[in-house]
Amino acid sequence: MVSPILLIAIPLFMAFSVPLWGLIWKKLPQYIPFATFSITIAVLVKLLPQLWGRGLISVVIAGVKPPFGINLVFGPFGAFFALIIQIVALAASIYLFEYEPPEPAEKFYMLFILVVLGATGMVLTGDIFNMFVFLEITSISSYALTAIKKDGHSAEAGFKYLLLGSLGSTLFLFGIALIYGSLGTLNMADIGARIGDMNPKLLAAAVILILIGMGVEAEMLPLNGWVPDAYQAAPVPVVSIFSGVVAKAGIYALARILYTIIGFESYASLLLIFGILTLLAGELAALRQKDVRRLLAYSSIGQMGLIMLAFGTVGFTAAIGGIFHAFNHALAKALMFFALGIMVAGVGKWDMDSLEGIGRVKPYTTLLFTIGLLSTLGLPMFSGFWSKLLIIIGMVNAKYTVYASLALFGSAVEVVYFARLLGKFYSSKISDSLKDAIPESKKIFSLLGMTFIAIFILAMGIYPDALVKWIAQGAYMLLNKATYIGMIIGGAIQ
Amino acid sequence: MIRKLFVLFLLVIVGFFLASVVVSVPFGAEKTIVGRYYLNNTIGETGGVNAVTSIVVLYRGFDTLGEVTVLFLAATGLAAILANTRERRKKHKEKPSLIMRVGTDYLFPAAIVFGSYIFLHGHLTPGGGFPGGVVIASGFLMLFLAQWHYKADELWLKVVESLAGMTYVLIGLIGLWKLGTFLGNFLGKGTPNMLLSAGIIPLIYIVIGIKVGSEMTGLLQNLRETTENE
Amino acid sequence: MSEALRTFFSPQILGPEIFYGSSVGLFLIGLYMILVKKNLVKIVIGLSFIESGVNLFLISLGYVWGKTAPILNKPELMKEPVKYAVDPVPQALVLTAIVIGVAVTAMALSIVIVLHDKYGTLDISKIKELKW
Repeated sequence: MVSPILLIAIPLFMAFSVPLWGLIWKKLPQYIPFATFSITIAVLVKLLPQLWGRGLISVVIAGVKPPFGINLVFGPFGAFFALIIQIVALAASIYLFEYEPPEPAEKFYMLFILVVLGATGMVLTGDIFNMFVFLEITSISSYALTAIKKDGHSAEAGFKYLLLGSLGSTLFLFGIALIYGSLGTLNMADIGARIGDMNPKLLAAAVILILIGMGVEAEMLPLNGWVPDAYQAAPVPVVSIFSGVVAKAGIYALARILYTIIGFESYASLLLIFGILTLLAGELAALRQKDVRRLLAYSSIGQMGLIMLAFGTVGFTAAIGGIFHAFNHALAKALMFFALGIMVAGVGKWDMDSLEGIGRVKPYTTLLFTIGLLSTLGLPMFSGFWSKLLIIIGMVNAKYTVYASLALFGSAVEVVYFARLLGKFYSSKISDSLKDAIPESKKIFSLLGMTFIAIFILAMGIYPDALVKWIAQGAYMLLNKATYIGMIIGGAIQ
Repeated sequence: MIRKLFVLFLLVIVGFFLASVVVSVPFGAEKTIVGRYYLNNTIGETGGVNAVTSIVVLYRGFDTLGEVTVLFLAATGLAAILANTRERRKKHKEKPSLIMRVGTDYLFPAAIVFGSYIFLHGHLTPGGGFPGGVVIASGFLMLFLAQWHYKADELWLKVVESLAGMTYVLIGLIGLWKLGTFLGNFLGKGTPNMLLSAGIIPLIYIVIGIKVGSEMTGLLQNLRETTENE
Repeated sequence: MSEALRTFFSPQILGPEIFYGSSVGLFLIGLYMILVKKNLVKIVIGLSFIESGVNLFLISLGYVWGKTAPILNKPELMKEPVKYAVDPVPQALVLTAIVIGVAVTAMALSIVIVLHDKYGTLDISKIKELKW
């Protein structure tokens, strides 16, 4: 029987079993992440068609009905984020074939599987305390993966991330405690149905605490101090996981909690304000960066700000744009980081000047990087264009013209620093440090996986309807709190 | 100085915010629907008399699976971060005393037995897999302190840890296969208050106890400051 | 003697202030340590303080005046559990939260060990990136 629970049970089983595979053959653990995420994608492909007629599938665990037991909710919105997460994870695990992981390799692969597992759990769970548990799985494995290189810099970045992250998740727990203390239930649909009974002062406090808690993972403004350092310190496949998996799970959780539990309208402005601040701060800080990883990190913060704006708008078009942009950004950033990893192979330096002229040394990789970059920029013909367009249209429709124009200003800033980066990469002068660059032909598998992502980005740019039709269902379910609650509490139980 | 004043100012604000929030949560009142359901149904539905364990292992068993994963992560992450940094750490200066060494000889088996007792009786008494596992690990901690040449076999720890984790997931999957719900209680409930009762609760607690015991032992071993070649 | 102690420490005498008050207090102590202390280990201890504060708050939510632990091993408890036992849910939640706290502390300490190896100091102001 195919059940959404397998999306969590299988990676967990595989993660526990990694050391045993290592006993059989020392190189075998390298291929376990790929095997795991192939299976989970197969499960997803099998499950997705079932969603069409039914709206959402709620799976109870241990046979106890939702308000009393924990349930997984496999609805269009969550399923879409699960899909994003699995695709990025599969791409990263292909990249792992030709990647020399930091020692001890076996532990690295376990942590790698578990961080994806945690994020998948966060987007699928229907219970708020269970979400906290999965948040901790995600973040603790991220701390470890940040610090795993064991040099001073990565330890510092890891400590910074750990301090902010665990402070955030403790506050999140405090928020949950306030909700439980006043409503006596932990199921998200049940809380959503009863939220009117809650003391408004307590509710406001709980929202603030939860916003702070999730903001750390979603790279929200005052809490994203860890982002540039962690992106700079962590191994390349892990960075793609940070931007494509961890941040996406964070934004999913924010949207889910604010829309489904809290019932959004009164707190919409919070997400708008934090979103625009995050966007502007990210884009402006990116202007001054020399290290390409830091530049991409700040650009990632900017994009997360845009997605927050989309969810803060509370409108159908903007919500579609937000989900679509989350998808595009995850793929494009993962592609850019993989490409960057291959560009730097043998060079060992990550700043722009050392990579000057890389477009002539590794033309194909640079081309893939450029595709990701242009999609992030939102150039027509690339899938990022449509999502940005939808967000802006949604914001204008909702009369948030000021925010829309500020978001466009942020995009303009983006053009400036990305154009400078491309100028460097395609410059005719070739930097001395590229002399001992390892030729890109050594990384056939990674290039193959990346080509697949790039083709996908281009295809979605030309024909976005295929995906948007599907996303629209997710956006519809996100905005309709009553449908969600009705289907969880009052039936549709498998 | 200014920094300290600023921090104090901040603390006053945070404290005021938190205090004004928590006082509006009623204390000592009956309020929860969910809790009442668990109390009324724990014996009938699970056969376990300890309501907390029934919740931890069955009703909210998925959280516990996550919790086990978190601890596994901590052990894995710690081993990953501390790998190959060990040789630079400082060595013990003093030998453990006679009392420590002799006492450990007697207490170590007792700790193992007591830990096993705790996780075997998790569904009857306060306790369960986590405390039981920690007590077992404390037995190993005594060994580490008393005989600083002692080293738990890492291969063994690794294998036990993996197998226990996989067994936990498998128990869940058997529930999915037999009853159609993950972690479903596919064993009989038995007579409440007996050792062999409460279905899969004791089974899961045995697995958790073994897993936590090996993980905490591995964790302590990694944090220990000695090197093997003194 | 023990009976007197029990009455003194029972929630009826001390009231909610002691529980809520000390959870906020623990939280503030922890926050103070994180913001002011320079020693990395003390910062980690501060983190644990904050976690304890939240856990104390969570567990005191489950208390109901005059009731006992939710272990239903006596006949009257089995018959009418709701009448005699407190809410078991927060206890289960805190159990999970405590284990998670242990995991975070272990991770933090391992990173501190690496930092100490690399820089030979635990003083945060001497480690370049960590100043803020």
